[in-house]
Amino acid sequence: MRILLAEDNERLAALIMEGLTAEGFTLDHFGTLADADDAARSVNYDLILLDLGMPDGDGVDFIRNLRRRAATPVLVITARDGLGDRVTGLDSGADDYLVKPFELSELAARCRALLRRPGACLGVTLKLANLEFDSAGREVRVAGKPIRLSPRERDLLERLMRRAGHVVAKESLEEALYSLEAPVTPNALEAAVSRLRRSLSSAQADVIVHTAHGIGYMLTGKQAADHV
Amino acid sequence: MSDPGKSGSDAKTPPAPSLVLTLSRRLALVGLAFMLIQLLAVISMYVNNTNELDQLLVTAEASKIAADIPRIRADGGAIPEELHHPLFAGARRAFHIHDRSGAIIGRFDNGNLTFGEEAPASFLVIRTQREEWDDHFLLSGTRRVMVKGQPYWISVAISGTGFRPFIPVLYDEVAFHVIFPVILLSVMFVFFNISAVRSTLKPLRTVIDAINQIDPAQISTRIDAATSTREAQALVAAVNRMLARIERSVRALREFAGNAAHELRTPLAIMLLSIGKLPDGDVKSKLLKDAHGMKRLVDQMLDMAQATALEIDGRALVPLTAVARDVVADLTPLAITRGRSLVFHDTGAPEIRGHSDAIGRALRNVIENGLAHSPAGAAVEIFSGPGPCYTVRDHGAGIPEDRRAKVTERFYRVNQSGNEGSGLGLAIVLAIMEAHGGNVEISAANGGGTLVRLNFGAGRSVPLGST
Repeated sequence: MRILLAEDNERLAALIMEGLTAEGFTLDHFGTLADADDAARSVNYDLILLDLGMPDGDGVDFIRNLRRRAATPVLVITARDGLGDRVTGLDSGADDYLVKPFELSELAARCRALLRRPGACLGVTLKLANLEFDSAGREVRVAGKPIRLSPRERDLLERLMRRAGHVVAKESLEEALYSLEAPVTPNALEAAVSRLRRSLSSAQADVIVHTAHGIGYMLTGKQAADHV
Repeated sequence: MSDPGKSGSDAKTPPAPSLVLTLSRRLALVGLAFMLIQLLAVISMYVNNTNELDQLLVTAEASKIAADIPRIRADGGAIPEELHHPLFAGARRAFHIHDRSGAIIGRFDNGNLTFGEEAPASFLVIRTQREEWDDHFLLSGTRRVMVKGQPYWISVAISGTGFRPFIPVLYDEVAFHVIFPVILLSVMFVFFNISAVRSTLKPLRTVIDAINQIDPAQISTRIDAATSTREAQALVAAVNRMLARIERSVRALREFAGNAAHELRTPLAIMLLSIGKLPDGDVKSKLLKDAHGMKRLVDQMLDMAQATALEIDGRALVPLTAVARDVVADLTPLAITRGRSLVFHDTGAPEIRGHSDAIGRALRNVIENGLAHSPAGAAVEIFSGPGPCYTVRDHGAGIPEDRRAKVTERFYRVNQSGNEGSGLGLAIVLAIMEAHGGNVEISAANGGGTLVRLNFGAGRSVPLGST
């Protein structure tokens, strides 16, 4: 996994290099957009980490040029997170957006997410606490032991696990029910979720399905780390 | 800030008089001067020309008598009481009336002031005579009058002293030559004034309308009023120059916010990554907490700067409920981590014109505030609507009434001793709401806690459907 890092601040670049190398990535660092552009033309990188505020040009133009010839994922690092700036960044073709300052764990997680993004929908094992979901074999395991879930519960769980730690909208979860049976009553989703909760707790899975009232549901591990 | 003594737009100063009123006052003065000059002219003309007055007095007496000729004929020559006295009561007067055949149809003698029986020497003679001794005068004259198609000759003799008997005719003359023209002139002045002011100020009104149409959130707008006069064009140019200056300073503020963001956030990023390299322990977690506190402060100061200089695309429609749903979904993990919960109620908010990122940022700040002031296990409730508004209700201790107005001030914190938060949150919310023509209402909720209501300006809301 080879990453191109375009960052003009030497100290910040050194810290990122050090941290991501320790996480198992290989990085090439360039201090100007011109050098980064030359390198991106000659080497096939798996990911580009780009600081938008480079001294020799606009990072948005760099992404536009890149997009004409390659689909390499781009993670933009920026200090500009003004109202409306985010839209500018993502519209330009960047795949994700990280605002300074950030912690290494967050940067590494974003890099990993982008690197596995193509084809991420199939053949991946999703993990949360002691719960595993093999999306290819449609198998759910708690602490390594397979558990039995109805197809409906399994579909719900997959959608929740794919966005673990984030709220999944009711509408999106109801789609999982629609695809199996024709009419869905207003309470069908609630009933399905409560069955899923019971199944997970009787299998002693260390996860919680939280209700986001009026919006949807969210799956987290039991000891949600205090990262705030 | 602005000098209160010079500021004309201060809400407390009474409105300035309208141009029509000011001009009317000046024109009234001109009219008054005109009247005085004409009065003096008329009086001096007649005082210097008594002959003219004599004729006028005889004519006036004759026409007064003529008006009663039908009655005198009907009563067989009896003179009605009101004809016994001349126009000026201090004088004496005698008269007789001849008809076409020379017969006297009526006469009135006043003591020794009498007329001879003879008809006028010639029916064609219209004469006036004056005799004077000491300050006495005796006027005599004949006038031909037409009553019901018949000619009559009225001979009048008037005897009196001084100038006073002439005052009634002089008064009539003044009325005819001075008062009537002045009234006519005044009416014309009023019409001229109103129409002149209206047509003169029409370009100005066009410009004012154009200025009022400017969306305060759109700093790049300029007036484009099609005006006919050079003066109004100069005003348009001046306003546009001022708008350009405002735009430059707003852009400078925005640029400063962006530059400050870059300058502050990069060192913070270095700091955070360096702290991450430290071995786990008490020191590391304290440093991390401080670094995150600084990050939050920088974020909020930049939000504040950008909210104050917010530019709203007048065409962008923001679905309030969808924005609120996203914000609540984003904040739910944070709420759950802290052992609180969020409850979202869709109570029917419309789409409005506005800046969706900014609106989301405002709601986010209010919800974060509510979470910070809620006890563990409590829920913060978010209502989207009804109408263009959000309501956020927490179950915290509430804000004492005397401090509610202050919480939207910059850097104000209800809990002064706490070291959480910058005190900018609600100030950012207020700035964003004001940019949308809206406001923030804070009140005590029924059953404890605080109710924060974000009202978007009615002027910007876009009604959906017929309701």
